[in-house]
Amino acid sequence: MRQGKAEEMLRIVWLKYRQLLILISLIMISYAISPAFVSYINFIYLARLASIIGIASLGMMLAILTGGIDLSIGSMAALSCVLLAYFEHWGIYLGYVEQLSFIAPLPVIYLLCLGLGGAFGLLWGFIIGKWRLPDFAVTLAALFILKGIAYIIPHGQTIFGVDSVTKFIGAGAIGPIPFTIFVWIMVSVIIYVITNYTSLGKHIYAFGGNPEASEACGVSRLKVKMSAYAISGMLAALVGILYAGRTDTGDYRVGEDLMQNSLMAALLGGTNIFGGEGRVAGVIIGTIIVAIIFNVFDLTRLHPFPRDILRGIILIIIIAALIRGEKIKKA
Amino acid sequence: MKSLKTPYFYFFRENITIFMIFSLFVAFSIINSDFCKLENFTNILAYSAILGTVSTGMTFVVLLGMFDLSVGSILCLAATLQTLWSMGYFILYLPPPGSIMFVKELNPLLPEFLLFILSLLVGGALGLLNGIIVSYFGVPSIIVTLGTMIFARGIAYTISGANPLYTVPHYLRYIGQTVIGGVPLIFLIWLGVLTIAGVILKYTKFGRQIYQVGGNPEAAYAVGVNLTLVRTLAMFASGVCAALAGLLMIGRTLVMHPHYGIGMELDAIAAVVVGGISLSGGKGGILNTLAGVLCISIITNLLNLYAVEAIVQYIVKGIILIIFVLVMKILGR
Amino acid sequence: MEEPIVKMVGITKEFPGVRALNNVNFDIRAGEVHCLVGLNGAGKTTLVKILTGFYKPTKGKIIVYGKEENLNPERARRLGILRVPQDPELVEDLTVAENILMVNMPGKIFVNPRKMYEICEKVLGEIGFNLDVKKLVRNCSRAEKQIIMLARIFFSQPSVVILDEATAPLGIREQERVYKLVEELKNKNIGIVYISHRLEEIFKIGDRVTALRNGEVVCTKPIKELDLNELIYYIAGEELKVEEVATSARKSMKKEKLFEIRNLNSDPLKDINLIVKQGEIVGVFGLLGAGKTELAEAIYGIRKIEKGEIYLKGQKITINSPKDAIRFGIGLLPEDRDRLGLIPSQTVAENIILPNINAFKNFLFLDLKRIRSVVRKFIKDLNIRTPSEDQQVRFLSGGNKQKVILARWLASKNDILLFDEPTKGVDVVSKREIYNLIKEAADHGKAVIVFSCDLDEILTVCDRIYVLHRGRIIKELEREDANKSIILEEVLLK
Repeated sequence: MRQGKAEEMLRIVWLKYRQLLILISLIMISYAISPAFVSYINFIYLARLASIIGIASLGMMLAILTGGIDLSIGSMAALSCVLLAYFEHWGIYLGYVEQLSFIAPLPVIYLLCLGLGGAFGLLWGFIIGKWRLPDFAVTLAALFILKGIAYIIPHGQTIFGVDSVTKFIGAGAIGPIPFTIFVWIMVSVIIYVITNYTSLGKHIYAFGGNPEASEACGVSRLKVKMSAYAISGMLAALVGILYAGRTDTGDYRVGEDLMQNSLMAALLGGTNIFGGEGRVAGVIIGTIIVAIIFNVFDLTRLHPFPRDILRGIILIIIIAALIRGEKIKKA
Repeated sequence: MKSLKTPYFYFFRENITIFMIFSLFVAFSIINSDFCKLENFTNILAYSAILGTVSTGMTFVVLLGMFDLSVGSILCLAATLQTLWSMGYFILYLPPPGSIMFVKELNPLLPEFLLFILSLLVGGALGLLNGIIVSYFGVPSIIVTLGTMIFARGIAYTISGANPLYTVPHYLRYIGQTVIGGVPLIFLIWLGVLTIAGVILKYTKFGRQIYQVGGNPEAAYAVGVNLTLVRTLAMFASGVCAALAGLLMIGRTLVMHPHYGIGMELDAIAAVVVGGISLSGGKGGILNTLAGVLCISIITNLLNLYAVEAIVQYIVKGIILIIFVLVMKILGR
Repeated sequence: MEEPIVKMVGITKEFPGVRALNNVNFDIRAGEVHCLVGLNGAGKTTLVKILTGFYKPTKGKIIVYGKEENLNPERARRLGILRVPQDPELVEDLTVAENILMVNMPGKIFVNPRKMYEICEKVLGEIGFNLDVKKLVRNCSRAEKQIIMLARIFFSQPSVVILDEATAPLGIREQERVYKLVEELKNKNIGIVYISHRLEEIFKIGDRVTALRNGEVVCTKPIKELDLNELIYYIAGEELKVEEVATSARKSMKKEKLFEIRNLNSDPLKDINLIVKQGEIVGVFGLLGAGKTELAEAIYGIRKIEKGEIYLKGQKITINSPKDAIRFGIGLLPEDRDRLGLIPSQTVAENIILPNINAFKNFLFLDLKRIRSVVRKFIKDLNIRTPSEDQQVRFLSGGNKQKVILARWLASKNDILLFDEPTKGVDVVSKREIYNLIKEAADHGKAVIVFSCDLDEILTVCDRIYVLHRGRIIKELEREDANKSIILEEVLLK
């Protein structure tokens, strides 16, 4: 009997604090593997990495909350990155040109990129919500479609050079802190407010938790899906802008791993893959965990290819472990 | 909508893909002179063979309402292993590409026949892994196969250093290069695989159980069908087929490029959907796969003829996918 | 007398808060038809689920062929315990033959479709059913689907066959065939458990009958020793005294027509006419399958209405979706609470405010303070047992879940409440509380319809009772004129 009680308690502690526990142990392991982990420079690098993944994973979280998934995040980021540079090299986009040629003032360009992200998101959300096509199929198609568009626009070339404001946003810092962190914080706050303080947020959770019951209470499937994918698209577009700033190019090849990483971050953060459960705080911790894992890969100078091996294995192990826990909860 | 359901409607619905193939064929034979060349048809058939082999395995999976994103990576891994083993290496860790042109003499580790089986088994093992995690842990198949997709390709890249490899065993060369009256041997092999799959689906207990589990898993469970076994075996089949496709591919192209198989998932799901197999499971058969694969192959061929780059082809195929999922849904699949 | 095939001794089954079966003894003898009767909720389904291994009894043991067994579905199947359920479990896109043979496919690895068709046709012919074995189940009628389920018996090696309302969807000729089949099964020394609400059948083919009421065995007797009225008495139990159902407040309320349904047709419902007056509690009694849930869903906009009108306070209204229903002030407390009623992952508070969430907004954002205070008040008033308003609803017991759904409609100020099986799976104490809450709601002028197959419940709570049978209203009674026998006669003898 006594052994049963101790087991019970361990289990409760695990379920409640598992993200934090994983995070702490990971930090310790990372330090053990590579003491450079705790250096100042590394923290900066880690912060930049985490903010990018963090923003995207909040979008992914929203899509998953509705019971779906957004496979097109990486491609959308690439498209947005390309578009930003393209709009700034209007008419003359090949080669590194000192003189930028804006199609419109910078804020408008930003709006165009983000707006396009939102517009595509609305489109996918409509197809999924109104015509009830499977989420993964539509966003899988979207992944390829957007990738193709990102390639076509600059005719397969990389566009070099973006404006200094974008460069600051993507690569600059305020004092010791990279600017991207501030962007991440801002996005987190906004998403936090949406999920906890708006009726849309409650509708999203309700729909993901039980589509039939929520529709019986007047929740609109269409509205929920369109909103979630629109926000996800916009956040992906935002990440694209950050990429452009950081690499100083409009490169259609960015964002290759973004989808998997944000998926891992969201799931590690306690988001239930079947929908209806997930917290911003959890996803933030999940993001940090994923960022640390990749940071360690970099520190140990792990070759890109074995990295993939590990990434894939980690994804599978994590999901399997988490879902086991979730299934038990569901039952 | 009721008034539309005349006999013509049903006939059209069941055969929409055939109509598409036919119309595309006729239309472009007239429009594009390159299209009707025998050499071009051979290309179409060759592409069909490879895509088709992958899709055949995928058919088992989709009939169960699941999905396998890892087929492209398994294809790549199996092909990579085959070439490496033919060079005499078990595992390699080469410098990144751009260094040397890699042509090594054939020096197979084991008799070619065994290497063949082994490659297929690697694919099967990955398929088994997918299957077990899906059925035992209850993880959605998209996520699991996403993970396998990443790590299988990672293994392939690691062991080959992402170099193109030019050592293809003799038997594969023979199979891949032989063309009989315009029809590539690999196409006939695919037809053979398709037939075997068809026989399994129609005439074996396992095949019938796939339709049962795919159509109504609760009913199947209630009569004692072993859901775990059925799902795992289907994933196994998908892995084996993907591996086979990889071997056929290097036989045909005589080189192992590290990017082989990228985008194959899109083609495979498009082929399956266009052919008329329902994504929710339980409906469709190998004839659907045949039609769908031919359709996608023709479309790919046309895009190639018009010099549309691979990445741009994605746009077309992605749109086709969405349209067809919608169309099939309206038609009641 | 030889040993029975199956002996269930002292079976008790408890769920959180509810005791479904209490010390039930039930045995099945070879070559005998042992009928199991009782109202819905009496425990028949639970007993069958234990017998087929899907549930494990909390207490008691099961002895099969003299050996005590720890059953699971696999083991039960292997022992030859076969159940033919009420709702067909078939694969729509496969043929009749495939669905029948699913239970026992001929051949170890390979199957021969032609042979499958032949075998099926032959056996179907032998048992006297004519079905096109190549037809897709999708295109089969309800009766044909039921025949498929029955045909499966003949492709297994059963020792015990449980027929759970097997003849309900069948026509007269097919029913007769089934009775003959039962005879044949008896001759093969198979033990048969026959569950039915049609008492005439019981008397026709039964050898023994066991009546369950409220989870307990009321009697187990040979058919010969019983007559119809006695059986009804055992099923129903004592007559309830007509309690003082209507409080003085409600009695003095002006009884104007609040809600009316005219000529409603929606498969399987036909020509439903129903009136609810302000402050009235109307009951719709019917057995499982009579169409109660379908009626509730049609009113609420989940189900399409093919013909008919709905009037609210004299005005005609159209309801095409739950959103419309909510707008008109209709609230549904569904029978399947977990599927249609609640969002299990959300909290008590979130579930309560969901339909009317916009009323809790302060500009664009939710006023969490106001939500908290409103929700807390409801938790107190309805006595919802939960650690806090932030507790996820999935952890609540059945009775409290029901109260949460009720709180939801009270919070949204909905005036017409549809309760579908309000106390299914609810513990005794919560049951009482819910009945009082229903009465209170009526006292406040809300129109209440209670759909139930629980006779005691209907007679405890309702002012006026409609009896629903096979999709039609066959009787309307005032509470004073109603008693168990009258109502049961309507449904058990037709």
